[in-house]
Amino acid sequence: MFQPLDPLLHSELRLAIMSLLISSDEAEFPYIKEQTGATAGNLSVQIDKLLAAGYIEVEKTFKGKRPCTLCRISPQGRQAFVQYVEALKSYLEVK
Amino acid sequence: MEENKNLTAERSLEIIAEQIEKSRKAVSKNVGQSLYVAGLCTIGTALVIGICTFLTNNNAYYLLYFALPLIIYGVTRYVKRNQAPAPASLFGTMVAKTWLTFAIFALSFFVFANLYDTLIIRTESYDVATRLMISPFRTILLLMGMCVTITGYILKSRWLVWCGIIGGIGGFIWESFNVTGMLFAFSAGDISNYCGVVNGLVPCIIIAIFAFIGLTLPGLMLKRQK
Repeated sequence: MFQPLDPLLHSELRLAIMSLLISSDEAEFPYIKEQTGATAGNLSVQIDKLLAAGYIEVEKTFKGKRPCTLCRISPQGRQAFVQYVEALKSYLEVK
Repeated sequence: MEENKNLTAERSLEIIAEQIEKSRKAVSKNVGQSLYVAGLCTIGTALVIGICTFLTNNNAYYLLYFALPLIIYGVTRYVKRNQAPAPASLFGTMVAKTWLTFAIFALSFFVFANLYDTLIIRTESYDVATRLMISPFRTILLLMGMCVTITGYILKSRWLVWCGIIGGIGGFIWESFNVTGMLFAFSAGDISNYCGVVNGLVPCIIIAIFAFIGLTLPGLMLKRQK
């Protein structure tokens, strides 16, 4: 039986952001932008969606005089990601 | 990365694997660059100390090794000033703590060995002192090789593991059997004429050679990985 896939994670960019954050303690906005190849605007929108769902935590600080946005995965996001991978497995097993 | 409404299970898994691999490689490249810079700084410092010791016959220049961590820190920050920072990850933290442990042990041992040698030289006769003296460099090379090997295991880099083993154990054996001294003696005949030169230069040459094998070379390989 297919398990439902979390619609918030079932998107290329949001899934890429979550996958990057799952293997890091935290990552800066420019790093995520570079690794995903997304535009700053699009990335900002998707980060806001993940933040609103409580999947990630965003901290805005300063590095010297430059603003710095730090993203890290929340326990809720980690759980959602694990459930998403489990759900994916059910699709792959049937095939 | 475009928004795709018809994301398949395979593509989803591909994205996850791809991003996790990218994250691991970003850490590897970051570590590679740090090793490369650390290697070049170590070679540079060893050569400067070697030349100064050779020209002045004063071993006090060895104290410049204490400045090495600061030199590496400064040069690394300068080289990485315009790069997007690598993410803080478990791999990165483990590698950083391995090298921090190395720095603490190596510097402490270097201080202890120098104090001990100074004491032995002042209290014992020349023959006894030369037998009792501790050479800190071979132990430091062994510790360095061990750290490079551990880093290689953490980053799953076979090259790094082998460079660490060869650099660490090779350096230890080289220094223990005074291979550089033997080479000098072999090429120059009577070594007693060159004793001062050999004593001052040998540790610096060994440090430079094995810093290249253990730090610069694997660092370059990690930096250049695709």
